[in-house]
Amino acid sequence: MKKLFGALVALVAFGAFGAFVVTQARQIGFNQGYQPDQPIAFSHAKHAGDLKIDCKYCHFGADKGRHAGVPPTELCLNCHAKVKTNSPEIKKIQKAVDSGENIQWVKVNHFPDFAYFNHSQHVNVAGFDCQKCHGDIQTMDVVKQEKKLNMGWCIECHRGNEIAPPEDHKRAAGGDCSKCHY
Amino acid sequence: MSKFEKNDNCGTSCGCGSQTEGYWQDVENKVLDPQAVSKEFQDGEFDSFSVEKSRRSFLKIMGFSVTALPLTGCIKIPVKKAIPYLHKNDTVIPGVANWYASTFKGVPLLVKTRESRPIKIEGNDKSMTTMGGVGSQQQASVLSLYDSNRLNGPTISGAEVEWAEFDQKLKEDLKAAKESGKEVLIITPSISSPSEITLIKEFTKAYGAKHIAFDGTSDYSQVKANEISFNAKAKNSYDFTKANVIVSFGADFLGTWGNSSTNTKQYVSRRDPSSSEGMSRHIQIEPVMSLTGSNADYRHTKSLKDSRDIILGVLKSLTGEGPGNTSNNDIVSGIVKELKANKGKSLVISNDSDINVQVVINKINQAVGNYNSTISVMKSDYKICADDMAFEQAVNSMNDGNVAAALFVDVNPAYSFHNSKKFESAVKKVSTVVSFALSNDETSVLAKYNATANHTFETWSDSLVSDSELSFTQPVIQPLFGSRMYTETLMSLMGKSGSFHDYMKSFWSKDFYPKSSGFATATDFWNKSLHDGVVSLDGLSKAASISSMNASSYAKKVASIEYSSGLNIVTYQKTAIMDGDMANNPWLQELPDPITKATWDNYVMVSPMYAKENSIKTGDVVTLKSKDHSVTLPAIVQPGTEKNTVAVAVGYGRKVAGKVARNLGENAFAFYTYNRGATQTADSFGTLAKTGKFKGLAQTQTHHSMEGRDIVRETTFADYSKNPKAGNEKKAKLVNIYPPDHKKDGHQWAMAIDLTKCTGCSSCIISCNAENNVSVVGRQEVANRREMHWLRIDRYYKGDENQPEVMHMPMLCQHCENAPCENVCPVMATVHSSDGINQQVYNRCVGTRYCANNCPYKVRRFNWFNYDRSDKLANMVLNPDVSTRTRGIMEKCSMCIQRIQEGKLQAKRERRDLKDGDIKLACQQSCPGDGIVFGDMNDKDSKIAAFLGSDRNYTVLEELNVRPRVSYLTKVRNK
Repeated sequence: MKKLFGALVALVAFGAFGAFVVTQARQIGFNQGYQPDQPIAFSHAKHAGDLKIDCKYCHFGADKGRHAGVPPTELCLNCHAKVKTNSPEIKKIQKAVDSGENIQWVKVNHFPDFAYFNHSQHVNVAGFDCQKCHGDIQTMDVVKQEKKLNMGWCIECHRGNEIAPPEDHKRAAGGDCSKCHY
Repeated sequence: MSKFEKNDNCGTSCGCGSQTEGYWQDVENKVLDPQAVSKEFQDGEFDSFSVEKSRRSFLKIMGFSVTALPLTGCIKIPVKKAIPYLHKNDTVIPGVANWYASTFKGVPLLVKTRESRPIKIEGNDKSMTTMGGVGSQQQASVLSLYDSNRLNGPTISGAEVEWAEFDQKLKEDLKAAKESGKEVLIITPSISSPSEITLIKEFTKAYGAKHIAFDGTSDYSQVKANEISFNAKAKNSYDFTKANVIVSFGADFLGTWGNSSTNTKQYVSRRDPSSSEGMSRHIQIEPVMSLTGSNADYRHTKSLKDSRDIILGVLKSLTGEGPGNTSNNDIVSGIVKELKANKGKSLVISNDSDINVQVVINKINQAVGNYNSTISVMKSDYKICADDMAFEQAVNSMNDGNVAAALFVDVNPAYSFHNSKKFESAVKKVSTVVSFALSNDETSVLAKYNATANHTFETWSDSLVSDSELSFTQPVIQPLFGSRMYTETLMSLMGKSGSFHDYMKSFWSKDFYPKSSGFATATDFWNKSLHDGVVSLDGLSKAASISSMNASSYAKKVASIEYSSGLNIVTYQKTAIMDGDMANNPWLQELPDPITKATWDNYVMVSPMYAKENSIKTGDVVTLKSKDHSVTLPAIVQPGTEKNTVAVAVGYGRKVAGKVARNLGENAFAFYTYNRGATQTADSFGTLAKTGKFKGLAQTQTHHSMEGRDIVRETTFADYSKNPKAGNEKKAKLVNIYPPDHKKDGHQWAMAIDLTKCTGCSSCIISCNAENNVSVVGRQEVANRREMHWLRIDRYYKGDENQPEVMHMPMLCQHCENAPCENVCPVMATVHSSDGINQQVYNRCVGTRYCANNCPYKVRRFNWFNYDRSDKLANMVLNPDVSTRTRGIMEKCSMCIQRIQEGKLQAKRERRDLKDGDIKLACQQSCPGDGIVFGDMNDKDSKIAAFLGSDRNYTVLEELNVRPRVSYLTKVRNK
């Protein structure tokens, strides 16, 4: 009886351990909630939220190509050559532009190299708001990875009824691997 | 025909031993360095896997993995930086390609740049000359740009210096040279750049210098013959579209001779059996099998002597001039009959480096009225052709100590001059030697000054690509090294300020703007021309007057040429390497020769008859000795070689070059001789001796016997005219589990390849490599049958091994609807897409290789290693839209899925339907013969639908019922 109990405990312990391993392993590479510090205390809440600057003013690539892009440093000075020039953060930007030593932002939303994602396909063609994938960016002082950005997360949308109208070429990517993997 | 032994390592899956009537494939058994296999696992590649095989170590590893796994949950991916542009150019959008027009080696191009770095070359279809055709060298040029072997700025006696110091010292030396009263020479290759020529003229004036054009392999005999015949120092311009009959004596006009991309485009346009003009007929007479010869309708394997004899016979029959022929009457009469029936619509060409032969050829063309119809001789001030005699004299003059300064621009005579020892000792007697080499070569190491020049894609220039078309060369990237355009160095030496761009612009507004029409200002004209890359103008060249002349005396001279005894050593250029200036390009080195399928080497080609008599096998190392030169190279038994002829390719045996080119093969330029007023490429005679050694060649095809199956289907034009289905009558009975009305909606991609249009030029392979980041594996791995090319060109022979017929068949993933590879993948890494593509998903692949085993076409490629990507600079050429593959991953043709996706997205962004032709695959785009068609087979008006509906359409191994989406059109020969 004692032996059986021991075996049962061992089995449960092994099962729990196994479940823990599997759940943990499935999280490898997902960084949902990742919110690193940035070299410049830039606030999306201020610019996109309060001031209602269009996302595509800075992230102009989102409409045209694969990458939304971090805006060229000089672009900040379009306004900040006049606005808040005494702020220490703006001075960092001015210094980068003057010295040629660029700011190294920390990448928040990262896609693996073996998956192809094109911003213009979603922003321009499908007409989605940035918030759909990036969360309520207009409320974030420090940007954080809102969604999982894993394959299951992509497929959830692409299998959903909201996209995928039936006519052939206008159809959004179905389940074909090589829509994204090549 | 001899029977050939079956090989155990056959390419397509075999099973039966019988051969299709007349077809054959292999010359001998497979050749492989026996040491290679045993060496393979000794390089430490698999060291990490070598653990002690015991229960204890097994438990150790298991224990570690189980405890380590939960820890992975705590691991965050490393911090990745995102560095934006500081100042961004308006035209650059990350992730969006920009295209710029430029030119490489006289071929107008479009250069695709991503984030300002050139990654891919395509033809410029605005050009009236090339009509979008490009060759393999153009395709590969973008990799040469990122050659880490390039020199980082100017050097004086090997030491790096600043440009200012360099200019000052060189100026002093040149001034002294000018004042010494001795000669100052500037030596360039043949130039067709108007603004460069103008600048060089100014330079020669300023320094009292003499300009000499030198090419390793020149067309001097033709130029000189035109001077004799028509008083015009110019090359011929051909129009293959007007030629019903083409008779070529050894000229490899589809591969290495003349402007091969343009030639191929024009030639193939007349090879459509369904066109109303009819097919052209091509007769080739040559001692060794060339790419062009392999495409001929009638090919005669004849020695050089016999070829010349035939030329004399044709002359005699047509004009009564000269001594006539002594043999081969049937060939002569056949040619004469064809020429007489097509007066003014034929072409007779020869690559003979003997001037007198070329004069005779001129006379033949004149006699049948080809001038100003299929051939024109256009004089232009904007072209300077290589002059063998002038260079020969220059070397003598250097040797005599009469030259004070010599500037070598983009030429490498220490390697490509026939007597390099003489050149070396001559150049040592010149006090100021300047080289403009990009990276060290045989000549630059002899020079005191090296004014390191820019790569073409960092250069401003222009070129006359035909008699009436100019093409721009514009920089598409900032210089990667501390180099400078050679033109700007010349300007600086002349004390001219400003850039060559400004010089060129003012030259254009002075010289070309007045010739243009419809532009308000010179700047408008410049901008439009620069945008398009090409511009057609009148008055760039003037037709020479074609006056009649008697060729008797020249014919007599041809008849009296003396031939030594022994084997005639013929030199030739390989399609990819040409004369060796791009030898440090791994893409080109690994491109299989279209005929021999050998990579990474040159070799001695011997005829099957000679090989049998002297028991030589492919791979036997032989010593080929002429009067004053000898090479020791492996032999290759090459069908279609004349019995007493051996052939060696030039372009190999580079002694001073980058690590790719160094010590590959031997230099065959030394078999060139200077005789009868010109550099002769086939005047050497010698003997062949076996050394008893063996060196396996890295061939990509040693046995692809068709094994009784009609893989290539072909017919003759005569049969085709009677029945368009000729040669393609066989249809396999196929069963299908789907009901007949089973629908395939949406786009359904398909490809068709016209075998009549494929010349085997292999431009598509390099294009595919560049587009899809295909790895270079190196010589040994090719020998191990592990080349990675997604697209290969199979070459089949038929008939007599001395005069075989050749077929080229591009073979790539056939995207079978019932793909056998898909059934056997245990991890679903290869699956079918809804639009008919056989997908390979790298991140799912675990490398079982079952798929490759089950592929009837052997088109799947396995990454046996992590192939070298350590060269950061060379990695700049990678296409960022295609992932690179690592060890253990299977890969294969993806039908350029990234281009399909890009094309669809472009249409969607523009809110329109996809049109036929919107998507062009890399191979299709680069095919100078337009032999590859791709499109949506559900689009009934598309080109692909027409190809699929053609009577000539068939699929390879149809009886397997795999239903390939890639189909072929039968090859039609004009017989």
